[in-house]
Amino acid sequence: MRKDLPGFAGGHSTRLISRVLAVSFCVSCLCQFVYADDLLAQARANVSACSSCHSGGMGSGKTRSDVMEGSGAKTMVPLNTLSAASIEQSLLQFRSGEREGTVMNRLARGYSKSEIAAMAQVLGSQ
Amino acid sequence: MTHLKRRDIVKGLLLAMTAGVGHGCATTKAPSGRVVVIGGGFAGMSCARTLKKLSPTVAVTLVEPKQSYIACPFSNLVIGNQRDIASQTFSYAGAVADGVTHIRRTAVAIDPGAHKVTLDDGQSVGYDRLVLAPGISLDFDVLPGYDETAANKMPHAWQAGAQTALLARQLAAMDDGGTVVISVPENPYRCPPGPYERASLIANYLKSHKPKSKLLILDSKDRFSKQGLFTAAWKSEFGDLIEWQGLKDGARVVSVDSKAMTLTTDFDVIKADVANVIPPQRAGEVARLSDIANASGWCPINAATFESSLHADVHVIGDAAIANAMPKSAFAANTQAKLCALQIARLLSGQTPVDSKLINTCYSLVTPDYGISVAGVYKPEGDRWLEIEGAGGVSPSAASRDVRRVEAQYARQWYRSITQEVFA
Repeated sequence: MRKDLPGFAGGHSTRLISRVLAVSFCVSCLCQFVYADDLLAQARANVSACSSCHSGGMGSGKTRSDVMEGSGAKTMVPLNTLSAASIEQSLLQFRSGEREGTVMNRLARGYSKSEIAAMAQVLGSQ
Repeated sequence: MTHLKRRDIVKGLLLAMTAGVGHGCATTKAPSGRVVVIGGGFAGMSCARTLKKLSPTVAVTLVEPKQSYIACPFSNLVIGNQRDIASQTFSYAGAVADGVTHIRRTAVAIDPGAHKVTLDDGQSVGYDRLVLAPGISLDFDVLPGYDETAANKMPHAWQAGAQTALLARQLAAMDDGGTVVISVPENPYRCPPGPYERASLIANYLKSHKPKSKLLILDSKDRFSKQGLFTAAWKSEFGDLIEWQGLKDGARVVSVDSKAMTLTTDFDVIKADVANVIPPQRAGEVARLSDIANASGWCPINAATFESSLHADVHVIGDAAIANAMPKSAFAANTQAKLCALQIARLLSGQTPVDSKLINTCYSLVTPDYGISVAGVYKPEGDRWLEIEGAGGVSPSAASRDVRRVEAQYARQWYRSITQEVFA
């Protein structure tokens, strides 16, 4: 066995191990990147449904401050007026029931906290 | 140790790790190709326009014979004398402006092997991927006495347009004290709560214009969408103007006579002054002619990509698709279409499909100021779209008039938003 893998016993071993580690670190970075890319793609796909109600043209004169009033706002908010943080906060409040809603409370319960965070990031940057 | 051996170890490690992670590390390329979309409703238009925006280099062709589209959502308000049919009508100009080629022809055949669609003028159009969004066709073979001629006396009004206007005219011409009958088929059919919203908005019209009249719903099933909410609202808003009878009551309509204006049920023969017969339905004609629909009359799909489980490179979205827990609604058609466009863009650029959830929300108006809704979140699993438990559901049964009024406002905002997104 040793003859087949001389590197592990001889002077090359340290160098080889460090190279393998370096490569696996890079691979794991790459996979982190790919994984993040997948999450982003998934979040982009998940938010594609939102515009059925919340398309940009639905402002009907409502400003961001009206929207930030919370559950008092009686309009389907154009999401491009909101930051990622406020979208995430609203969705989490709808999800927990802390914020009353009509439909959003029912829909937010269908997503995990991490899905909501990723979706908010995508929506907030639009 | 040779360099070759080291390289082999490193290469093996790399392969193992990437395989272990299981992400599609496939190389991506600029998407190109030809996508043909058949059908210019909420599904087809959403898909064609979304795809063109996502992948401008893809040639997108919309095959749709009509010059303009008349939307079904909110058409019950036209029947209930609250809305003009013109405000239901949309043009295809927005898609053309996006760079979609609109061929005003009917697709009469699909050859999935040759990747070719034949049009009614004999021409054919080739595709790399086909999106089928033909909506429903009315099944005139199932209910004895009900065919296209009978529909001119007993309108279905289940595809908006001339039929919608006809039913509205018949209601306007009916004497006070008349009987309106609505016949409702078994599941599945387009817009599950639609017949009950229609009954509500007709009752709303009768209450103020012809208060001595009655409305009878003859249902082929025992349970229906938002049943508790509708039933309570009918009582509070219209007293006993609306009567609903289900399958157990013997109310399933088994034949009609359009000359005598009668509907025969399992139990009785009922004379109507105005009869709205909503017949059984199946996928649009072209899907059935090309064997993309199965024996059920609808099209089986791989859920995540909407690709037909019967033919490669053919995707089916909207009412024609078997999307299981997802209802046949304009909202569902629109969200399915956007996801399908995204999947096609990824597939054409060598990427793997993305795993995504979908949502649906259906608003119904009981009166112009009284709205109720049902919502759902769905996930794909194999060939099924499953409802996510714990999410979704209907409006609360105990809610203030304010909540009903707000939901009616939201319904209008939804209509403006979705029609703007799809057609503007």
